[in-house]
Amino acid sequence: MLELHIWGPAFGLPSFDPECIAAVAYCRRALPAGSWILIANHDPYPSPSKDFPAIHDTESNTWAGGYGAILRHLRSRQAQATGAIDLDADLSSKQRADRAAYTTHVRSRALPLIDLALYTSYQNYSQATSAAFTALLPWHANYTIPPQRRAAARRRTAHLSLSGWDIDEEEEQEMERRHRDAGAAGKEYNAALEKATATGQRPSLLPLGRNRGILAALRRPEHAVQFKLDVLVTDFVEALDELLAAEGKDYLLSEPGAGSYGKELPSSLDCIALGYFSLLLFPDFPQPVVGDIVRSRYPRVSSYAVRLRGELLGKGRLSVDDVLALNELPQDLNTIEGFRAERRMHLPWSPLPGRSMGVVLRNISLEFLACFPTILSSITPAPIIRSTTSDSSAMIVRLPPPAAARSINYLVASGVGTMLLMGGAVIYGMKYRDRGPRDLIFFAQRPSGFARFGEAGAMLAALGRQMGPDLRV
Amino acid sequence: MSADEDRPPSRGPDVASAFAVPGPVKRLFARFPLRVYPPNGPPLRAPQNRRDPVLYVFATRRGAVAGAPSFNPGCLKWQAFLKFRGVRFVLASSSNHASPSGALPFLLPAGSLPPDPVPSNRLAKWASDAAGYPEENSPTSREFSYLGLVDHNIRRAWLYSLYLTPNFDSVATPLYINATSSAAAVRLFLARELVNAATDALLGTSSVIDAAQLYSEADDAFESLSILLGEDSWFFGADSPGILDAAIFSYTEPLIQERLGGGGMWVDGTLRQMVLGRPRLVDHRNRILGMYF
Repeated sequence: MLELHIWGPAFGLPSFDPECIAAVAYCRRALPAGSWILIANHDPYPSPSKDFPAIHDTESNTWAGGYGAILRHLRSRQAQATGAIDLDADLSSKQRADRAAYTTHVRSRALPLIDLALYTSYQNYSQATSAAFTALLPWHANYTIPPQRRAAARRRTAHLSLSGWDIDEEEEQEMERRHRDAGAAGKEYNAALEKATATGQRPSLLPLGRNRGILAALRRPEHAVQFKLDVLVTDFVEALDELLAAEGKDYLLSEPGAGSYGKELPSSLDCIALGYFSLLLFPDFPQPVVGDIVRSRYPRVSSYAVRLRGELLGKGRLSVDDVLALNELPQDLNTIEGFRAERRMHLPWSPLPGRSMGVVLRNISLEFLACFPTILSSITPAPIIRSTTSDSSAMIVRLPPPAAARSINYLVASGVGTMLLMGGAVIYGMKYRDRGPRDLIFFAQRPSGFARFGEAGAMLAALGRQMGPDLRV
Repeated sequence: MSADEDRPPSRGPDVASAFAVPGPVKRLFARFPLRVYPPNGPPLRAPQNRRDPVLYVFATRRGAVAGAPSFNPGCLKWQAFLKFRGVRFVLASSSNHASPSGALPFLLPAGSLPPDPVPSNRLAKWASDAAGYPEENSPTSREFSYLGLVDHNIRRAWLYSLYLTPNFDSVATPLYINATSSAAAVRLFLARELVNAATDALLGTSSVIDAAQLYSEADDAFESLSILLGEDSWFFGADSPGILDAAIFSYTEPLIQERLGGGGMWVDGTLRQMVLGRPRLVDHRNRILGMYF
């Protein structure tokens, strides 16, 4: 049995990570139904890439992490025995070259767009992405995974200087104030216009001065963002649009009449493209700029993405609650299959295998430690995986760090770490309490007043109500 | 009253007198300078040839004089491209600290005063202007995608191979560190900085640096480029080499050299073997070296 572990569902899609969606699409098409299951996980520790997607072969107890490694694993002999087909088997050498080039193209050009749409845009992050994380992740992971992913996305998009999108709440109020000013300027203009027409003068077309008129409007951060996004989207989509343009192709690399399974097959490139397009096109963002540009300018590409989604991921929106509800079911195959059929889940979702308390505790403490960059970096070596040979199928070993220097670090850091763990947890909790409900949605649901103290609180409240009238007398 | 109107309306006279230079002092300083010396000549190491534009690249001093290919792929790409366009230029050995944009290469056009350096992202346009080439076609979307193979797959594997393997001590240290400073502390610090920069660049998009994955992606890229080149002399069957030829040459050339920049041998020769195993890419490199260098 093959277990595909991915970051869990969000936005009605199987995952909030493009590579995970790509892996799901590939497995659904390449593996016979029943030979694999899909698990929404949030602890990438066992994966060699320390990230998802990762595939776990339960027979040989091996892991493969990352889309490329999963494909290599599925092409290997023992996976072929389970009836896996290679979606890229029929490609000519020219098509293989194109596959490599366009796969890199999609990854390198679309990742910044997804970073911008999901994480850098404050509006989207606070209203859509953050809420999706809250619905999906257990409470402790919500303190670490979303901020980590957002920080990484902001680092990756920092060079684009699209800071017009990345505004905090105070700046947002500042923007609102400026909008009001702009409205006031409009009234001023109208008043001047009326006065001018009354006295019979010809009004000047544009009210002059700083921050007024059309040019100033175009220089406002929102519009500068729009222009830059337009360039980024064109760079990404144009090439794929041209690929699809030739002779009405179904898939990016297909030639009409090819394919040995009776029907044309999508390639691994189509799966990658679907993964990235899904996150750009299908979520309902409060700020849907990127998706809008693709939909309005490249109808061919967006209809290709919609068709591919129906074919590879199944029709309809996926509900997070359904996937999480699987974890509460009794662990027997028939119940799970029945539940999947009842909720019309097209993918072989399965419950997350239970983990021991020790593992959970280890993860939580590691996550807390990660808040102190100096400690974690001094106890863990640079995450480099060197294979013993250049042969990619060879066993992968983790080189130990240079011994002498690290062992001292280790002793000091673990001592300091345990001391700081408690204090850190307190500080961290306070820091997040102050961030307000928009950054971490679930704080909004916290009861306030006496209700915070549970039953005791209810008693106190009742007492208070009783005492209230007495005191007033 | 009329006298009042003639006077400037400000409180001028009182304030002005406080700041005005007294007559004797003014006359004294009007005599200076007493003597003007002729200007100093330029230092001996100043560029002698000012008629040609200067491309500042990573190069050994001897390499710069001979116009040899730079050992840094980012620089070599533009060095080769300028040569393809037939632009005359001289090389100057430099470092990132000298560049206005913080990264090499940059070009100083001949006789421009004040100096107006051209950073690498404007070099393509500058080259076609300088060579009187017809308007440079912006790369087609296909060319664009294949350039991505070089700029991502091959570059990432190169960063890993040069900075995070024993190649760092044998190849990178003599070229980038020992040439910059002879002080042990400075060298140690620079080495740390280089390794950290490479690690950060590789960790930007993934949580771990997986050597097997990086090398396999680079291998895919070399294979794809070899297939794309086919039996043609230049990519896309063009009459003359273009930006993709320059980009791939900037990695094949340093990898094929046994001792890069006269330094040490490649210890981890994985990437080198990938290139040497593809005769079309080796021929392509030899063709460029023979025709343009």
